[in-house]
Amino acid sequence: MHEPTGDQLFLEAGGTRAVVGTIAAVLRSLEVDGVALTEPVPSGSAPAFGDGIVLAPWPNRVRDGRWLLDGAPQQLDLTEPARGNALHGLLTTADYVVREQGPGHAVLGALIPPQHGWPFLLDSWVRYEVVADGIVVTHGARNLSDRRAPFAVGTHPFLRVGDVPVEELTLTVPAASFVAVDERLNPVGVRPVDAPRDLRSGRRVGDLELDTAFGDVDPAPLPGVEGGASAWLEAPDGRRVTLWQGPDWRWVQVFTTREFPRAEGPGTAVAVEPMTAPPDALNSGDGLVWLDPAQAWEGSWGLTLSA
Amino acid sequence: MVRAIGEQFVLDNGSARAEVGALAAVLRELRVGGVRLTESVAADALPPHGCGIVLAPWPNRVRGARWSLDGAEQRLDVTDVARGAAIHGLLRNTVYRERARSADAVTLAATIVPQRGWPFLLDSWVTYRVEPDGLTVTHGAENLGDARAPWAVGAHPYFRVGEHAAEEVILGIAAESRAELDETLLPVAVHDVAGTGFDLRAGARVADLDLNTAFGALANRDARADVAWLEAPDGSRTTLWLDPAFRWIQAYTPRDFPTADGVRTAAALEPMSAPADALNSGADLAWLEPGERWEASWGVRFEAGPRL
Repeated sequence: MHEPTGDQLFLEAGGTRAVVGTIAAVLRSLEVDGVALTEPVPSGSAPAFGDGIVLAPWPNRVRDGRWLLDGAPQQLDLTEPARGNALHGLLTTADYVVREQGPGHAVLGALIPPQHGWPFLLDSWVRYEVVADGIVVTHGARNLSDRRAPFAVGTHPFLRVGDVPVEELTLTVPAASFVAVDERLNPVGVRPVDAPRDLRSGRRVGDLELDTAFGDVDPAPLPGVEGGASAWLEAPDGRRVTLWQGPDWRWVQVFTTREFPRAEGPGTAVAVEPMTAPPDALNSGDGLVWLDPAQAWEGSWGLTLSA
Repeated sequence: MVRAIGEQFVLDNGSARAEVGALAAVLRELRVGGVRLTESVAADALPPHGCGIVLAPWPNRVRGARWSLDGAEQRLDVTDVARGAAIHGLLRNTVYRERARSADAVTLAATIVPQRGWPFLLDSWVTYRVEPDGLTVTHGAENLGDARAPWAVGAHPYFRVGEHAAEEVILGIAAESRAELDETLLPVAVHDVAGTGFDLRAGARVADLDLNTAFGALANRDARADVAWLEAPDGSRTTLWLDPAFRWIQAYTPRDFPTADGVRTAAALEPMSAPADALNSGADLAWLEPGERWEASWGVRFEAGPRL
């Protein structure tokens, strides 16, 4: 069987299992003791709404696919043709190479070659490691060009807490600001969170309609984690899936849809996307890492399940 | 050291020598007896003007980056932003994998996954094999999905006759027709070339041509045949042959081709199984049933001239 998500990697540690596909280094599924932490990508399917894929060398949009490099206009391919933007980086259809694999971990790598609007050569990689209560994901990049190169990264997991209907979950994001956007979903400014976007005290997912980047996250301390918890989903029975982000990951995008395809029909789903930079960072410069020739960067995020 | 064009493969049979890179399965250079038959692609840069890359699952442009599949609109990524089109398929930025290797041949493969405007899963590959007098290039695809899928392929070589400047050489194309293009470089009509400046059956000086033109109705099309050539003043020839499945040649003669010696005129002769906008016109598009395979070849050879 040829999977649209590429070659399949099965990771296991204790009661934690994850399946990773090589296309876009997608996290196809993650379970702890049989409880799903993410929306699975079904066998035979491509990821719906970008479920689980890696977004690099930038997450979210570049307005008109245009940006300036030392004053010279760069025109990226328009990978969101309906809105005329360049969306989610350059690796959403890339077939990553498996560089390392053990029972509970795998490292996948992808070269980012020079192309339209992107005059750089970068190596990039993703390390997935399943642990007792979830997963640790480390992203890295190294500049192989002879000029400095920008880098940002995000991922696109849709979260859940086992079989609890997603509408009934409570989402908390300790963020004080959000990125206001225009009708093409490009940023027009950073604002203090207003009532529909204040998730600091938790909101029922069924009441949310968001495609919003949040900033000024005040992460909740999490034992053993540098950075902290940037978002969590809680079920009525008290079980909780927590997203933590390392110190370089200062942004989180929340996206809700009522049309997420499942075997029983379309339903509500919520993506909670860790990002090192906000939308349109190639133009604003916010959150961009500039790598000198041969310089490398690494940063981590993860998911945990707690009772 | 990692280079922009990815892993590199050198094919050498003692007479012909080809260099291939994994990025877009690019043909970086071909020589026979030391004579260059193609322009050269640097290892550390984007191949200039598409030089040497594979164009799959369609060559040239899709108008508006839109097409229709069984009545449902498909929107592809816009990869020719200035003209609002989707150009040269889906593998231009893909690092191919090595599938088979010998001293004189390499097969590189890339999976074409379902994506925006393209709801199909295909395996694709290209084999480069050096011959005593040139190169044979075989393109293939297999439909791995459960619905029939369209397929077309092209390649983007710029040919040379050794170190003769492009302006010095004669270009011949055994084509009876050519496509007329609109301002977005998409075809609007097909015309007979007889009696026009596009009739290159007897050859014309590249210096006198300004082409970005698809030629069709290529001669002798029921078998592998020579369909185009470049001839130098000393009589040396670089000849392009095509299998019948390659029904079109895009000829492109930019004046601004970057080389190690500066900006020059160059001559691309792009074998194509289908013309521009074939996803919309359906012209010469192959439709592969689930599990069906497609394979066809083109190649190039060199003959030293009597006056060399």
